[in-house]
Amino acid sequence: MKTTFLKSAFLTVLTAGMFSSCVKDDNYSTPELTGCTETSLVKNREVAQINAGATVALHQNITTGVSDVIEAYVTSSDIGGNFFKSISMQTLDGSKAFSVPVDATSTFINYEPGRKVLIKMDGLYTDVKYGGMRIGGLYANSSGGAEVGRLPEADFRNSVQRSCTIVNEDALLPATPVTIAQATTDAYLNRLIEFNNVEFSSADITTTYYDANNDLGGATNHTLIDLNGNSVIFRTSSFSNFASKAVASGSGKVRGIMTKYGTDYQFMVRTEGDIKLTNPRFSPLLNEGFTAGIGDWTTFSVTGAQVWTYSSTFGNPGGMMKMSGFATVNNANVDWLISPVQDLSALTTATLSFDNAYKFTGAPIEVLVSNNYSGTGSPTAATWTTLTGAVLSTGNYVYANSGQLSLSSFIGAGNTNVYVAFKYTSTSSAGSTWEIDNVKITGN
Amino acid sequence: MKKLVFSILFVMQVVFVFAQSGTGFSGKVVDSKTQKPLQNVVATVQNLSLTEVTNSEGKFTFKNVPVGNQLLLVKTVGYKDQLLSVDVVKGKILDLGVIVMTEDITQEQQLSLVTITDNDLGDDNSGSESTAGLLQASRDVFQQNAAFNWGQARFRMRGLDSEYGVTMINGITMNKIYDGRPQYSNWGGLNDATRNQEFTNGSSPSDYTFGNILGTNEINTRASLYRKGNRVSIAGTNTNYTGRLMGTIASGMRNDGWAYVISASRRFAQEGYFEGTTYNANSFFSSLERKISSNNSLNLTTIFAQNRRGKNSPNTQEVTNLGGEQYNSYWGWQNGDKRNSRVKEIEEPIFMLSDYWKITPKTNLNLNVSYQFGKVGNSRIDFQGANNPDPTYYRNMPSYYSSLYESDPATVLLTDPTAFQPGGLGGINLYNNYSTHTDPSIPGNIPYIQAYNGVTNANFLTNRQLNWESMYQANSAANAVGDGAKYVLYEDRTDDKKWTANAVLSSQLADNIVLNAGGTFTQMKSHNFKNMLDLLGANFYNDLNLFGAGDQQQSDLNNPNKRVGKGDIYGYNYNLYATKFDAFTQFKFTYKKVDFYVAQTFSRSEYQREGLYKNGYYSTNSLGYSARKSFDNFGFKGGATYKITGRQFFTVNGVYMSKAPSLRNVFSNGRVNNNITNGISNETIASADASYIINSPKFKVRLTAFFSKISNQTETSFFFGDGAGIDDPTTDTNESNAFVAETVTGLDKKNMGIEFGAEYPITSTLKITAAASYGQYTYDNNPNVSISVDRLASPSNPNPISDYGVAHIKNYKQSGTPQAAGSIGLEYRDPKFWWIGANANYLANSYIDIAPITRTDRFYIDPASVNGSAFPEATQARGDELLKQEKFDNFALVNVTGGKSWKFGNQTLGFFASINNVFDQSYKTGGYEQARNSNYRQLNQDVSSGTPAFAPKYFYGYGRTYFLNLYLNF
Repeated sequence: MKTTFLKSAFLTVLTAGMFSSCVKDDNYSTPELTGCTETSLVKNREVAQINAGATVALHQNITTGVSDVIEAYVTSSDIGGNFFKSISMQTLDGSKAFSVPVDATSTFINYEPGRKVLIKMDGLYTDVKYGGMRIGGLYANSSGGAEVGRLPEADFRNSVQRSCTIVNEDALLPATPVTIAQATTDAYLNRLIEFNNVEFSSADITTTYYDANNDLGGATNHTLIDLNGNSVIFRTSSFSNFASKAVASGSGKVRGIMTKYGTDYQFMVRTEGDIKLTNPRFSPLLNEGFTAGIGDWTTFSVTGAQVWTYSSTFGNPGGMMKMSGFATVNNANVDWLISPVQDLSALTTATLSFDNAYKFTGAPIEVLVSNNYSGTGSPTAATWTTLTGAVLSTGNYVYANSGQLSLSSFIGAGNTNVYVAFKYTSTSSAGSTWEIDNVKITGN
Repeated sequence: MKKLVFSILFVMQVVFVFAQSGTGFSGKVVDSKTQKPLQNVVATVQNLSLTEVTNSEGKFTFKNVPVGNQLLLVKTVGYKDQLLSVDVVKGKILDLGVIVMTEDITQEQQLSLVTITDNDLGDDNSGSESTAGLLQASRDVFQQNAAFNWGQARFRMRGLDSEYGVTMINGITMNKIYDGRPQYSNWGGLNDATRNQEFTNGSSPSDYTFGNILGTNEINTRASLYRKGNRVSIAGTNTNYTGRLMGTIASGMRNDGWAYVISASRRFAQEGYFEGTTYNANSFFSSLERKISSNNSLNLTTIFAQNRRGKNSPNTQEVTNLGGEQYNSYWGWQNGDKRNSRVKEIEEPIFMLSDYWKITPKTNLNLNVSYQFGKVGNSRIDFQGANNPDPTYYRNMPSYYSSLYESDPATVLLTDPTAFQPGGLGGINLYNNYSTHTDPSIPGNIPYIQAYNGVTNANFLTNRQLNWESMYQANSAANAVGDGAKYVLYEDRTDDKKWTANAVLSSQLADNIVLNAGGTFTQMKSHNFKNMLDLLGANFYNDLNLFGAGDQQQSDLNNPNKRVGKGDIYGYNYNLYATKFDAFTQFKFTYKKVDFYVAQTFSRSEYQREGLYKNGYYSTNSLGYSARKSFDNFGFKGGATYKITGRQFFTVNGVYMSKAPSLRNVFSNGRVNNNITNGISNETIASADASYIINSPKFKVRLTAFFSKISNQTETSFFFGDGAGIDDPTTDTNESNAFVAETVTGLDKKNMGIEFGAEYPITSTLKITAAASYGQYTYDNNPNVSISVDRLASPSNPNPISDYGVAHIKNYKQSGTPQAAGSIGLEYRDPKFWWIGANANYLANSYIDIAPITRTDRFYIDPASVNGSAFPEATQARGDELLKQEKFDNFALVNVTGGKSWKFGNQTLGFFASINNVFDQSYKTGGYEQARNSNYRQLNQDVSSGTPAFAPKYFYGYGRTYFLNLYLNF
């Protein structure tokens, strides 16, 4: 009796133990992220009022009584690694914008674009550097002076508090889109802006956003161009998570923050997603108007004393390159005018066009393309393909446009070293004068 | 105890029995409580290889014993050994009458021991592999102390790692090929089922294997060896688990020729001794034996132990001062639950088919085939383009600010003209010099003020644990911009499949010659990879290594820019193959005055790696098969016992052997490439010990002197850049956020010392025990150190080894164990089946694990100097001071154990209780230097600040803990 009691008591405890001994060490539920504790700070000043106190010189905000509290919305983000230890902010209407240097990383977690923050100004410093207002801590610069520097993390947490309000960042954009010309002014520093109809320069699209061979202080400056030909520096840090991605070759919209270093305006995006260049390119890869000399082009004389020369006049318009085998008498000449190297490997379509004019009887100009020319010396060792079908001048120095000549055999993988050339030939009995201008390669 | 005395009296009263012929004696063994006969009790005539096993009536008979005084040892699992003196008379079979066996309390102690061995899982940097697990079966006083009293302090017998012991189940080695260590968790929690253990000390001969120099432990799971009976137990403790339930059923050998054992247990803790350490283990065991004939039995053993436990972090002194010894940085709150980021999960079931064949009455052959498969996972947080989530990351600590230095020479010299002269600091500590730089209107004071404020505002002071919510929030932000996860939880996985077949032969060749021989063939495939466990709310994770550039970022160039989802493999992915064959023979000779043995072994190990990823750093040597590397090894050993008298012995053992490097050391950077460690070759091991032993029924003493030298060892370790990184000497980059592999080759270790154990019953109920070990375990040469830096790899330099030259570590102490230990204990055993014991222990001479890299000549060289000149402020004296090995405080531990049992009919109800570390002594069980400060200036500045940011990290022992086990045998 006693024994069965013991046995069953033990087994009961054992069974109870089995059930009650569940250990939670797996399958945790996702935390509720909407929970947000509202800051106790209440806005009592406009940014503009603070800005009035800030000059180029350092200014410390000391409060007697209630601290000044301003309200701003985050525009930048370090989520992509392009922004580092600096947060750009603006007012909702964009009338004022500034940056807050902080000694903190991964600020995107709590200070994402569109987040309204309240800044307790007491004890913070403000100044204007390169035309942009900064609010932060102190920093002793290399010349021994003090300026606004990174706010220590603890001060940052204390002074710059996030609210629970977050707006769609589209609301922070200027009411009407701005152009590069408009945005390259100090008023747009730290503001969220979006350019329409822009693209990267033709030299950029063959590289990556960060290019180790083109490093300026740990970042690469590319060039963003708009339809009007205005351009702005596009800066990408080596630490950005899209640093190794190929530069987008199309045209379209780019959203980001305007910053400035010295006198250079530098446009920076937060993530690769800010770059929406999905339309075909609008500007040529190569666009040589010979406006200021021969540029990067080269000439090579195979035979004959006469050579390609630059003329600052009689171009279409402006300058042009010309060649004539005539010097008192006709002379036998073979002379090449060769373009700078073109990387067409990233393109899916490409065409060549140029303007040409001639006078006097002689052989027509030849248009050739090569992808194995060494870049210097005699072109005859390389393989050249003649492009046919170019519309040529009717003579008497009347310019004709060649029309779009397909470069389809010289695009895509492997075509990183493409040259186009104009080959002039004259004999001792006949020699024309040829003029070349506005050589363009367009593609996408 | 009275009954024990009684039984000894019995022996004195020799009774003649004429029914049997021969010269010898017989006896009947019964349980002291139940008075029932005990089957399968082993009776051995000491110093003669005569062994008998009791039958179902508990009887045994020896018929061929030399005349004269002989010692009879009677032993069985769960009971105390009985040592009896017998005067053998020619032509007579003496009846010794009834031999009463009393329950062995250490058996209950074994059940609490497992709380120590579970922690021996070799946490990545702990280097504190205790040998307690190996010793639990031993009856030797010294070894019992080493296991039960010193094990909690990570005492290692003879200073040797468990790699130098062999742990076997049914003759099959359970030491892992990967690191040479047994994975105790594979059978953890099955204490009832793994009770049949046989331990041989040091290099003494084992019947099952050649062994190594620490000892061999053989666990036998043959079903018929288990005494018939059932047992359930419930235990509570506050160590790494809080509760344990266990039940076991053993049938004994039934009349129909079948025997079975089934055992299951569960151990659990929502939070163990250290904060946030969960424990979740279920174990299942079955053994089924079928007697085919009287000479042949087949046995199938299945062991399935699941173990999931949250780990605890080693901490710097600073962290411990702020968070306490039980602080653990690995966990954080998630929705009100403590979630540990570093969970170790082990699931490696074992299946073993054994054949026990008695070929002739004097020859036994044991054949086994075993298959083990499963997984071991260690979880961890991966992060990309976001802050290190570790709350104890050095930048979060006050010490980061207080160890900041002004380093611009011009500025430094203005304040301290001696900074760059011998004995200087090479900089100005900002925090310590704050008092003269308090005026914020002077720009030059700003760094001082920020350092000063940083100390009181450091993140750790307000955020002590992981912030899971912040990680989810970061991933949610990443989702919003279409980016990959910033934080994920992954596991480093190892999935092994291992086949083993072996044969063990034992044959009595002549009256005084025994042959043991065996051969084992093992084949293993080990699949290693990163496995995504939890995206923490993100949509995907980019499989990129952002520390590299271009192709270097790719873990697999054949599948670039991979997006990783839950359950996907990423990061690294490779197989390791190992094939091992070994064989041994051993001859044991037994004579009247001297016993001796000789044994020899040969083994061949073959290793190969197969990369499944084409790594971006190692595009030419990561994918596909590596070269096949094989190692041939020999070993010879021998020893003798000289019987001074029947109760006093002098024993010597010696061994010389070589040992293949473990798999992990052959492919030291196996996660990313096929390279075989430069200059890797076999270790050689030479070892000897000599003992003086008194073994009388009353008084037992053993005094042993030992010496071992392990030469040509290879040690590899890995460092992540997150606070434990290595400075890049070429650029003096303070944050080489990369994975570097450090290899130490040609390392020699010398271990020597003495062991002492004694046991003396003062009265029939009171016993005193004493044990001591005094050793000197040192590095015995200056090995070579090299670093493999992935960043420097290229197709033209596929093995980017940076040779650091010789590390001057000769005579530095080996770490991970107290090198001296002493114990004295008293045990009172009441005849009414209760007992109590107490022991006091003193553990001393434990040292920190040194970082060899700081002991190389590069330590003094200024990486910024053009021609590799030394730091101008460096002095030898200060260098020696900085590199002096830290010795941990000695400490004393007092443990109390006790128990009682009651009998109700056929049932026994009992409890075992122990309180370890009664006085709640705080002590360090181990620690290691962070290799981050690898040059003189950094280390000098860091240490001189008084609050080093890269201080050593320590493991702590448990404070006062209890263990209470309630059991019912029925």
